[in-house]
Amino acid sequence: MRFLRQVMVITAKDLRAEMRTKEAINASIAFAIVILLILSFAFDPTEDTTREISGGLLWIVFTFAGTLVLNRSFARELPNDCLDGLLAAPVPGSVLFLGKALSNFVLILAIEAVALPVFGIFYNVRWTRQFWPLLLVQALGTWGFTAVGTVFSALTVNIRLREVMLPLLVYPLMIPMLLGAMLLTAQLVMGQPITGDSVVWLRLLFGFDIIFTALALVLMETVLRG
Amino acid sequence: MTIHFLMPLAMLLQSPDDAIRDEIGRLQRNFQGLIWGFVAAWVILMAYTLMIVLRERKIRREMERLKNMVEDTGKKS
Amino acid sequence: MRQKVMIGMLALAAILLARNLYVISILPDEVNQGQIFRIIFFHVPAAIAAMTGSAVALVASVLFLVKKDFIYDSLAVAVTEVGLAFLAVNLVTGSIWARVIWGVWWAWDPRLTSALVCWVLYAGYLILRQALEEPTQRATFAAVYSIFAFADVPIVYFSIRWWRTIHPQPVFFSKTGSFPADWSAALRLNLLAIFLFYAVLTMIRLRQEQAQREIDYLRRTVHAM
Repeated sequence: MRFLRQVMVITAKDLRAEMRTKEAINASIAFAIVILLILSFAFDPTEDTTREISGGLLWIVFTFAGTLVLNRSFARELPNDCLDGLLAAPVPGSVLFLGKALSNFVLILAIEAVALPVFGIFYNVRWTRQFWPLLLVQALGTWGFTAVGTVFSALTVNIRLREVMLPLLVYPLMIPMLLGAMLLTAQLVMGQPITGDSVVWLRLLFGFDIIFTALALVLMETVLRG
Repeated sequence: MTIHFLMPLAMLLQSPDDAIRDEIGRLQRNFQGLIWGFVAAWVILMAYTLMIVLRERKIRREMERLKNMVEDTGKKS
Repeated sequence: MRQKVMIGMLALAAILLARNLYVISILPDEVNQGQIFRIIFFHVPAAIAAMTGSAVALVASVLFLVKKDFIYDSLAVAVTEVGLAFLAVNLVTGSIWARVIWGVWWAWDPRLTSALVCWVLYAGYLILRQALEEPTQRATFAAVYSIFAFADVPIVYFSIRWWRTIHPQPVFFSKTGSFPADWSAALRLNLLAIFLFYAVLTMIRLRQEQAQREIDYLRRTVHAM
């Protein structure tokens, strides 16, 4: 399928570029660990009650560190007119969106893969008890964040105060998804499976991802040309 | 509404019980809350209307200024 | 002609509001909550007006992206800005109500919390517009954001409602309590009055936005000469 192949080309290009310099990923992982450290001082890591807010803490770390990656995503294309080059390519905006979003998705998942074990160590939590459901929630939540974040990364690339505008615009949109992801993550990290009550949050994450990915695919062209 | 105001006063005159004092306090707070609520609603709306009016004046001044400038440069050329 | 329509609407709104204030004061009390319940006459219509405004903003944004006519962009920003003012009314009256009934200024009630998130979302819309200088880019990006924001609104509402059913309210008091029958007519009339006020403010703001664009055009012309 030509569409998918074009997407893969862009994803591969981005990931290759990132792996050569490892700028964004190193900074983001370091940032994630620093935030986890600071949060350990804010909330006593040995308290049992802290385990209950673990979902919230983790997702704060993921969104803050992920914003660095998302910001870089299009900012990286600014020098040497790379962005113009991308736009001149004979591919629709949706291909560019999906390619960049997938590469951001992989990078943010990598950050989470480092942050979760560090969290487990600092807070003395065995978070692997519900590993596969946790992985599902991470994937769904991260995709929602990435989809919206990639569109707004393109939108804010030329605005002054880009680093502030991206979180300012994206975080309020993410609130429902963060709510669901935080609740589910807290539950899963503490070892409780996803029961009938919590399935509604899983459905929320699915719905959020579908709706916003569809919107992003449709509107990316407008954002890039605008 | 006035009768709700007079009744607690009447009750107070009859017997200064703690429960009745609490009830009067509750009614007063209730009523105060209502007044503050209405005041807040109106203040916000009036503040916004004021913002709009001020902006209107600024726009009008700017328009006048620019129209004069256009006429001046038109006359010169 | 437009001027006369606006003044007519404003007068009608003023008359309705005056009549309603009288009606509100003589209506019998609501049993559970007492006097404060009368705040509902402003609290609920403000929210309904703001939500209608956001729907209008969505339609205007889509129309701008399709037709590229700037009148739609002006409409979108006018309706959103006025909506923010009315949402603020909703939030503040809701907070005062919560203070009187529940004793706390903010109780994470599902509807109030959703209103707060919507307020933040649409404030972001205005901040985005401020950050963009070029008019076409500003209108396009603002329209895209408005579409995303509107798609988020129902999701926000449902997610926060589910969240709050897990953590029960501080005191279980449903906001509407026992809604007296003869209040509905007064509520609907007040809703009409507030809608009219909203419409008038939007029209004024819309005209200002058009005037602002004319100013920018004149400014460019003058500098070109």
